[in-house]
Amino acid sequence: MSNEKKVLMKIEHLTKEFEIKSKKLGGKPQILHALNDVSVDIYEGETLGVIGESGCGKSTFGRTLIQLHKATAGSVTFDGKDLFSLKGAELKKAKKDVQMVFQDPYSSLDPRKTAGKLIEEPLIVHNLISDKNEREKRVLELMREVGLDIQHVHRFPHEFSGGQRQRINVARALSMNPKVIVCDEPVSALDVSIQAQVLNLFNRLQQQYNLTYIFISHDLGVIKHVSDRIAIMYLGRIVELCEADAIYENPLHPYTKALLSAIPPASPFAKKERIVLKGDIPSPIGDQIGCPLAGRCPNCMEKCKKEIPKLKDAGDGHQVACFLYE
Amino acid sequence: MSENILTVKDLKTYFYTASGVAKAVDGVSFNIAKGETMGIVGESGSGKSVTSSSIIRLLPPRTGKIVGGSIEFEGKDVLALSKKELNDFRGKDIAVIFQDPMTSLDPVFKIGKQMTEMIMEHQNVTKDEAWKMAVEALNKVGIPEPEKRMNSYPYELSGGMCQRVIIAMAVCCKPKLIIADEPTTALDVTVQAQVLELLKELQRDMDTAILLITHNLGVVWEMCDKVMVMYAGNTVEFTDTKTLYSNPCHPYTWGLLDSMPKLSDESKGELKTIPGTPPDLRLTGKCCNFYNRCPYVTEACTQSVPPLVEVEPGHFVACHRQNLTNKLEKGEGLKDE
Repeated sequence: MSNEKKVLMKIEHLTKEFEIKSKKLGGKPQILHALNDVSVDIYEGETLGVIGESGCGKSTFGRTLIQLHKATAGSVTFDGKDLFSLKGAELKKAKKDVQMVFQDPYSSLDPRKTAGKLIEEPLIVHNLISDKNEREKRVLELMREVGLDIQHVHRFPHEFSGGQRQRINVARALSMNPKVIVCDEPVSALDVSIQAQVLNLFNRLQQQYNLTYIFISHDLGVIKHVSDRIAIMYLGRIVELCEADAIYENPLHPYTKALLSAIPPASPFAKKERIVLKGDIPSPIGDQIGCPLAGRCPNCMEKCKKEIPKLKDAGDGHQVACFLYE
Repeated sequence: MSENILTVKDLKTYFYTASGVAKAVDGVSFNIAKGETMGIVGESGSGKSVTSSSIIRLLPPRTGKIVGGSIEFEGKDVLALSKKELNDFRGKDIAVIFQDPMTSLDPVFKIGKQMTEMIMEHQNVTKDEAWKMAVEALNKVGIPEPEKRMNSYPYELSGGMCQRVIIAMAVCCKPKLIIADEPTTALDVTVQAQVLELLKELQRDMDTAILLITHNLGVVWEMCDKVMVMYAGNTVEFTDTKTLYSNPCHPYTWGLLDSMPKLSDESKGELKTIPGTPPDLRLTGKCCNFYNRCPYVTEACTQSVPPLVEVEPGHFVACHRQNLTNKLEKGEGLKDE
């Protein structure tokens, strides 16, 4: 099925390391491995869900894609161009196509600008519409598009609720006519009833503009609802990648199984077996030896402690990084 | 069912702000029996946390006031307790686990110091005994190397570990009721699973009642015997968990249940939503607070506050269209869109 689709964005061996300065004077800096050799193709018009616990590198993944972080290694090819080698005007043009919606609708908007000014800003920066009246018309059109009342154009962010603020963020991203929107936990700060409204908005916009989403979240219910394919991350690596339905019906990686069993039940009548992983996520600082899950995995083998498993196809495009399936 | 240890009747807590009186809690009634787990669900601003702060009388001085209703704990009138009695009441009778584990511990003191201080405050023991009790409590909640952890600062522990320390502190004095105010909201799902298992285990061991405040219905399904749904400071529905799932009666509860994305959903279609946003708490109290978002609204809804009615034994609903003689079915009389 996915073979027929056009690859819009090709991410290859994306790696991001942060240097942590030593506390001692003249000491060697330590390396924090935030992203490790992440490779994934993103098809046109699909939604790729990225899920994982805090600290697994999912936000770093999103931020590195739009070059808020400079990648340590690897490449991102978008529409045939290598994004990381672009410079100046070309880079600005490419950035227009990949937009981002951030997690916190409270801190991602400038409190001193009105809603209208906020939505207008990217249009000015990228010089898309130079005529002032035309621009104002476009702002109102965008506000209507994302379900904001156009009478609120002169309001400041603090006068909006969380859901409305997130709509402003979506309008800002949409103003560029992007091809890809990276959504970094766009609904996790919102209440359920508001969350549903914003998810429906994302859904409608995708159909209308044939958008491609990279949807980062830690909520499995949300991810399942929006995604076509799901990537599960653990400690900076993708451990499983497959169609959204397959992950719930046939999870392969032990971490995925544990993650799924940890979700609270869907009804008070459901009783389920729970696989509780012992301990916490290991620190991403320093060199990794062996599978990142080795210390917590119930199926840990001798081999897991020495080698890092690679993401391999286990049939039907279902990819998993685990020695159990080799 | 055994005797109630906590009875809250028609509780009203208002906040006096410069821009008006916010009716954060406006008529909430419920009771908890020994060893029972009760959940309070609702969106932010619905008054869940204010209800719990009212019970332990931890409202901000001057602005927050309990203006009506009664809170009774094992026959004691909580609202009439003196400062000294309150000190005994908090910790010994009721312990609280707050939402954010990282901020509920003091960052400049070691875990051991904070725990022993609390134990010595409430129990007549020496420092050494208190230390031993603290180590034992840490061991009980599953913290590895408890002796070593006693000398750690909170920042050295992860969120899940900090929450365990807080739970250890809460259970140290063997309280009869634990109020857990969104205990797992700041945690990841796998850690949340660990913490919920721990709470269940402790409850079995000590026969403690738990008041669990959350906005995650999944957590309610897993943990609670009964549940209260709050909206804009009011109780809108109060019943046992299974009834709420299989036979919810209030239109807000219907909306809440429908708007949750479910794992079992096959379709990737539209989620049902509740249109609009919650009301301004300074303007509530004259009619049904939900009327402007409710698809079943009638004339009566805009004129008076609906009373909490028992529609079937143990099932309370506050809705004008929902009472013994007149039962509203979900979807009834709605136009298809």
